[in-house]
Amino acid sequence: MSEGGQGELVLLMRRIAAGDRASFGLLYDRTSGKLFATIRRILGSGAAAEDAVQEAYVRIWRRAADFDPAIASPIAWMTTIARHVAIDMARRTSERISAAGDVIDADMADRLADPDADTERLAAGSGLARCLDRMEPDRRTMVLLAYCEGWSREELAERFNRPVATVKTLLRRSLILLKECLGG
Amino acid sequence: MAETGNEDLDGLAGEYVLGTLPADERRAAEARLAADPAFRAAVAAWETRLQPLADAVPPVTPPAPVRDRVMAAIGEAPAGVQPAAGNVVSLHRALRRWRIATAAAGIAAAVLAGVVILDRAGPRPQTEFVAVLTAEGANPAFVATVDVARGTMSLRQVAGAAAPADKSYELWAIVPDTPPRSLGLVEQASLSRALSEKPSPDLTFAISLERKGGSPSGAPEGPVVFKGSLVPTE
Repeated sequence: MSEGGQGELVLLMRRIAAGDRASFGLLYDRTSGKLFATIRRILGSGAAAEDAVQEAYVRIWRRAADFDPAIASPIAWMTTIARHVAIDMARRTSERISAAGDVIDADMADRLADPDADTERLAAGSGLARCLDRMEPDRRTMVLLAYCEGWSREELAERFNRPVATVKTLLRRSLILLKECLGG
Repeated sequence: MAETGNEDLDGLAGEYVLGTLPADERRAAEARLAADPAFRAAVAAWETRLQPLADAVPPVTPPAPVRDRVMAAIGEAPAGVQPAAGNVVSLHRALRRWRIATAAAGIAAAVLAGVVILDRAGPRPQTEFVAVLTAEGANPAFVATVDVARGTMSLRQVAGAAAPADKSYELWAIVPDTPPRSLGLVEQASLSRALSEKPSPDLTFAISLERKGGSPSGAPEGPVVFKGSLVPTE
């Protein structure tokens, strides 16, 4: 989204924090495609994704006063809310863990593991794409599966045949490496 | 709960944004977001760093009825009103109000060893109090919420370490002109206790460092390491 677009969203957020429903409607129109796409990567394209996007926007409305434009963009703040709603819903259904092994695993993980797939769509010259490419493939896949598909430590542990505690350690090391690569 | 040092804080913030924290740790992180500006900044930095991954997905417009359902849902919930007592979102908002109130009153935050908020917002009158327990001049270590209707208080550790192995943290309710009353040992990251004291600005929660198993005399004997007292915000 352009700088101007973000500026408009910041203005909308300010009005929404004051209880302006019309501005909230505009915010929904500007951003729901993005959040719905993000949620669908975690929950799939069924009714759960529609429930999640609804719940996400209700939370955005209620928490609007907490948004701080000095530290993050509106879309980044909203994305975290939407992803956490979707992840909560995904983890509430335990069958997802068993399904993760065969449904998501072969197709999605391999595609994500391929730096030419998802990361290629990152903005050209994106620092994040470059830094992900530099990572060891398994670790890159872990980070991508967690962020893009909402995988838990347990699901990653099963997929990569590592103890859960090791997955935690690997994720945190990978994050620190990413941060350093991106310049701290 | 041994998240000390910048790398741990950053790793926790990163995993919070990544979404890989277990549910209980995520809730603790959300409570910490409300109380800890450094953590809030670390989370925002991770949101910004990883956002290109979300931006890479082509938008998909949700079916039209979803918009109607959203607008109907927020019609029932005015902005800023939280749905349930005792959730961490209320706490976040209450803390924000406290910061504003503190600034307005010209009180230096550093003077306050801790703060308890009386949250008057929302349709229910005065059903909830929030306490932030800190060591003098340090970041918040515990947050407490008081549910007036149920007469209970819940305590959650948001930062800092457990008591040393040979000591115990003991929680006290303190009102003026009355001996502190023990609410028991703090042995886990969160606990809930019945509260007989009337929630008011006179009520203080304190945590002292006692010998293993707690003070044998029923009065605090060790040093008070964290405390938070009540400040109405409106």
